[in-house]
Amino acid sequence: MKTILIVDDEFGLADALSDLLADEGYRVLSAANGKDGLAWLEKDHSDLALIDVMMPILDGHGMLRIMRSTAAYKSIPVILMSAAPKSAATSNSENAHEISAFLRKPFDLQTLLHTLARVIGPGDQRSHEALSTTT
Amino acid sequence: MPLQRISSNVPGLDAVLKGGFFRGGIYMLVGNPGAGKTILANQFAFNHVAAGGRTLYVTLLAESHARLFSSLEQMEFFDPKQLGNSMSYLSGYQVLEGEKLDGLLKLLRKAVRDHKATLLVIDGLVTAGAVAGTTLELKKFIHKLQVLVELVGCTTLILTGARNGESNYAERTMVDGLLELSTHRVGMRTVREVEVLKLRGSDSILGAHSFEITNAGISVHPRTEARLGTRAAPTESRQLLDVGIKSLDEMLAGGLFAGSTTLLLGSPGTGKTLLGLHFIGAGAQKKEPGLYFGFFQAPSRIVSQAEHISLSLASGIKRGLIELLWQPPLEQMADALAEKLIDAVKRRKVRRLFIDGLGGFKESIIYPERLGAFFTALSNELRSLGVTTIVSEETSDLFGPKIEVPVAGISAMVDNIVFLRHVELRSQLRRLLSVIKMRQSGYNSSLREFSISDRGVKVAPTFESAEAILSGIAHLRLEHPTSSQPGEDKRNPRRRRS
Repeated sequence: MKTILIVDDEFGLADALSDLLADEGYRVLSAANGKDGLAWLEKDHSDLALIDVMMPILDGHGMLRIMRSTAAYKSIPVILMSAAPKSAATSNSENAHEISAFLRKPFDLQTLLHTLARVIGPGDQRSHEALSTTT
Repeated sequence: MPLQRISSNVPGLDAVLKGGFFRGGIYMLVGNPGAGKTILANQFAFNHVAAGGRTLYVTLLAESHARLFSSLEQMEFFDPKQLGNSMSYLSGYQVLEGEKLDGLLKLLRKAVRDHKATLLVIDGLVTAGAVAGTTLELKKFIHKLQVLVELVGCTTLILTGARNGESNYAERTMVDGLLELSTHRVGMRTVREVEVLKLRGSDSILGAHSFEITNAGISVHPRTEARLGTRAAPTESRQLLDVGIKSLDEMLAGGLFAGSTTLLLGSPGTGKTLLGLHFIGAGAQKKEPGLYFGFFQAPSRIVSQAEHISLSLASGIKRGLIELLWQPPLEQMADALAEKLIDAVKRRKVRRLFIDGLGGFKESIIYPERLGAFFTALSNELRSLGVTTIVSEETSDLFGPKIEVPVAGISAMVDNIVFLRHVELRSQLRRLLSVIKMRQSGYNSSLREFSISDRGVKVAPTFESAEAILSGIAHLRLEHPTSSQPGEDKRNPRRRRS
């Protein structure tokens, strides 16, 4: 089962995505900032990171920069998401060209599922059992 | 990418919302019991299904669905064939009671996805509020729900009680839109109103709008002056439309300008209706569609009244050139009347309109202070539709020459004013007519005798007969009353005519 790491400080979104993506047959981990996200990468396997840009403690750009400079995480696909337009949200990131996709919030589930399917393939057989874990 | 709108297809509501709800938005419908929340939500739900959407209706009340259906069955929008298919009802009460808000959220997530719902209705948030215990818990629930429905693109309507202070104020700050339904007593009459208190992402027609509930469901009637008020002023026309009475048309320097509004002012029985019908009849002879929009007499009586003075409307009606619309002056709503009038004008491309009379609108308007703006917006709309309008209005003074305009400021709202009055002479009532205002044109302001007989309506070609009538009562000769205040002698403005 493919594992997705959701890193977003926005209350409710990570919870909702965890449940919805679990329904689609993905295993989901979630964290509320970049620092906690990196902690998950260290202790568990992730096939893709879905990272919000604007977060406290360590933002999405900071997490992406560390991932791209760390051999163990370098090849993990990253999808950035933000309420700001892509041009504004990625203008200060030296690693913006290394992301797999950008999603402008609010986005709908179908857009996310299509993007995930394109980047890492579809989820396993749909399961109604939530398999999410939260740090 | 602009947000996609979802039409409620509830008559008038999308106009108030300036396009409908937003897809994936979460909206709260508040109101006291009996305000119409459940009917509005079900009407929206069935309309949504009829348009190809899928609705999930979740009740949080102990009330059974059978009971709900039995009250909805008489509504025209209720379609039992959709039940269990595109329209699904389920109760969240037991899950809420047993598993609290987290359980309810899970239920909603699963049910919305399983049903592939594009519209979710949650009826009875007050129950969820009671289970939540704290405002914070309820806010968290609404936020999670908001994120969920936005992700799955499911527009959501939450029904709850009316405002009652801080306890349920907080969650209302979180939703994308807030609509309040209310009922008010005005005298013996109960008036229903809807108001959009909040609508994220869009303008709306602010303020209260009346609505009615019939077997067809809810119809909202946006305030006419707010709905039509921003239209651009139409260009002035120089085309003249005759009234169909030769001497009067001469007094009017050829007739009424196309698109103008004329106030026909006079006491009861002075002949306002017959004069207005002449205008409609004259139009039919020229194949100009005419509309009589009256309040006080049924169409059959209007036709027979016209026939008594040799004015045949029947052939015009038969040929579709004349339509008589009657609105009994009962508990009407002014904005609904305005919609009906404009629809009738558009339907037949009406050129000539006779509103008989302004009093019908006055009686139907709940807040009298609206009348000026209401009538201005309505007449501007009619002008922009190329309609030439005559509107009658009664004065309270039965015999005297005093002109009491019954609606403050109406003289400024109309282009022309024709005044009819009775004069008593040797125990006989005689009629006099005068044009006291005509915008854009010179006109003959002399008093003329105006007579109605079985041979028709006649306006005397000269002022002599009027002079002869007036010689029977104390009077001052009038010269140009239009440059003075109505009822005021121009040569001595402080002196009233007597």
